[in-house]
Amino acid sequence: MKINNFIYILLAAYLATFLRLTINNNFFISIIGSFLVGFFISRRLSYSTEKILLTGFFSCFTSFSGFIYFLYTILNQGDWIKFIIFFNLIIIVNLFTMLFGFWISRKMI
Amino acid sequence: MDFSSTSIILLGSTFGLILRIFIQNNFKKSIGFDIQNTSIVNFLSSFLLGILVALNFINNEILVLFYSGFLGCFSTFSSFIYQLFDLFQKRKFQRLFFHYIEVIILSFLFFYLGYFLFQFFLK
Repeated sequence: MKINNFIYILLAAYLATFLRLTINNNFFISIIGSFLVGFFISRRLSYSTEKILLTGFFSCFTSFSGFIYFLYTILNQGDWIKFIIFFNLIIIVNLFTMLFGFWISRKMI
Repeated sequence: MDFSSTSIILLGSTFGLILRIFIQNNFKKSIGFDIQNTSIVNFLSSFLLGILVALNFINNEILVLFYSGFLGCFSTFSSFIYQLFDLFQKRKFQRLFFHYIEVIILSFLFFYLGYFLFQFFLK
């Protein structure tokens, strides 16, 4: 990996971290992130742009540990049914949001 | 947000990013059943999150900054959804179902492993 590319990835990651901390709502962040990832992967991007967007920006924008922590706080209340509903709902909603973004991006060309 | 907390977040996100890129590029073998390298990152991050929860990190300001900087950049939710999306596009629904179950069970297993290991050592 070139050093120039790496600096771009780092800057994208900083931007994404601050956006995540200012929005500060894990559900919205994951929805926005999945929609935009679906939007961008249907386009033909060059290798370095794809690296900057996917591994730099969106991976730092969405965070798996926030998702796990959210599920842990629900599980800590002892509510098993709510836990199962929430984790299925979040993943399915995100998957379909990504499909929706992919579809919209195909329609726009 | 003052200067020192900003710099801690930036430092944490730099290390998280470098570590994630290193793991994603270098661990390309599958161990037994099919664990991709993105899943390894997520399992490791849930293990670390378990340690942080055992430390009761909400009351400690530096650990909150570490959590939002390092763990937020180290773990990646969008790549996980992208894996599911990729399997969905290829019509491999059985693989999708098992991957879904496997990731959620293993990450909670790693989370509680970290949690109980640290509580065991703390006492």
